[in-house]
Amino acid sequence: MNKDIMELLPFYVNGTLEGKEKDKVEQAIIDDPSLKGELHFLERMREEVKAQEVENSPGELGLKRLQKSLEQEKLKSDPIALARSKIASEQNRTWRAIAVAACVLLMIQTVIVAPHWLQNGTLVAAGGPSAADISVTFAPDATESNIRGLLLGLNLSIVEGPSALGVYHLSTDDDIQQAVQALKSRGDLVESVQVEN
Amino acid sequence: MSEKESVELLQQVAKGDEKAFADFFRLYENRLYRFILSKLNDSFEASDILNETFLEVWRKAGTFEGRSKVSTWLFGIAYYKTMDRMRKKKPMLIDEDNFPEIVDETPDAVSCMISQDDAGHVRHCLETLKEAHRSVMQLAFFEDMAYGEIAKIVDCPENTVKTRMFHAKKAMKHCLQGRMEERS
Repeated sequence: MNKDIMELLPFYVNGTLEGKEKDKVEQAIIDDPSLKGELHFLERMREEVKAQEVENSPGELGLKRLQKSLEQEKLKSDPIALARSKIASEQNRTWRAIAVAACVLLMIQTVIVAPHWLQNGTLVAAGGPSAADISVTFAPDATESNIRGLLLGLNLSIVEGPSALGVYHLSTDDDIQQAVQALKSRGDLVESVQVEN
Repeated sequence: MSEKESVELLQQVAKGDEKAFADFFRLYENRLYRFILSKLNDSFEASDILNETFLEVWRKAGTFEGRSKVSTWLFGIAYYKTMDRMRKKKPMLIDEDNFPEIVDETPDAVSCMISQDDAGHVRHCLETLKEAHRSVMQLAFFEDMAYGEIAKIVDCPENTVKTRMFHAKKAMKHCLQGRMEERS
């Protein structure tokens, strides 16, 4: 068998041979019937190579990995971005440390304060609602804007309410009695006024 | 996808288009992974090389001049990276092309004896091929590449590719004959 032809045969089988080389191989196959056996062997080999089962390629996971590598690559080539990334990373680390410290502090505080709560039964939180000076109920047809105008005019603030019975608890920095008188004078809006103890 | 479309995609990659890069990855990763794995036989390392190959594509897309097919250029990068990794792991002291001749005394009958039942033998024998032979066999029979393309990928003369393929076929015949004799 001609060695040249034998060397070309695999590429005739995979269909990449062209022109004179292809013609040469085809003529050789006609002239030498034993080449048909070689041809068959190579065809089977090609089929087997193509049929080989290979485990799955990385696919989309591989793409994610590549995109991550690309980000790192970009950072390396951009010193400013790299510096920013390092700073952001440092800041993240700092905030993480602060958050951990805050959690630890909260735990310690809970351990120390909780027993006191249990002993005292009730505790009034600091900064609770300020004490009311006056209790008042308004006429059913009094509108929100009427009430607002009256209270602003008398420098009164709602500190609680309305309750289920419609009672509002008010406070004032001015004279309470004067405020009570002013409220009572507005019978069109105010149904009842009472000074708190 | 046609060669023209692959070239256009690569040109987009050269301009820094990450979407085009993802499309390019999806287009070739399976074939490339298969090729790398056929040489390394280690899925973790093959994934590494695949990643390195595409990173190189990102860096060098602008240098692609269209003198060869995109796939030839790409497989060439993968081949170089794979060989480099293999050399680092185990220095190759043997010149792959200076191997003793296997006497081709196998009768033509071997050609006809390969049946569907012998697929396992064929697979086994493929694995026993020398790395240089297996690469050429893989590129010629799985990728259906011309010997000219293969020569560019493995960076050797065209005649060497043809000779390697010739010897790969002889080695396969030899191996198959041995296994068939064991069976009988």
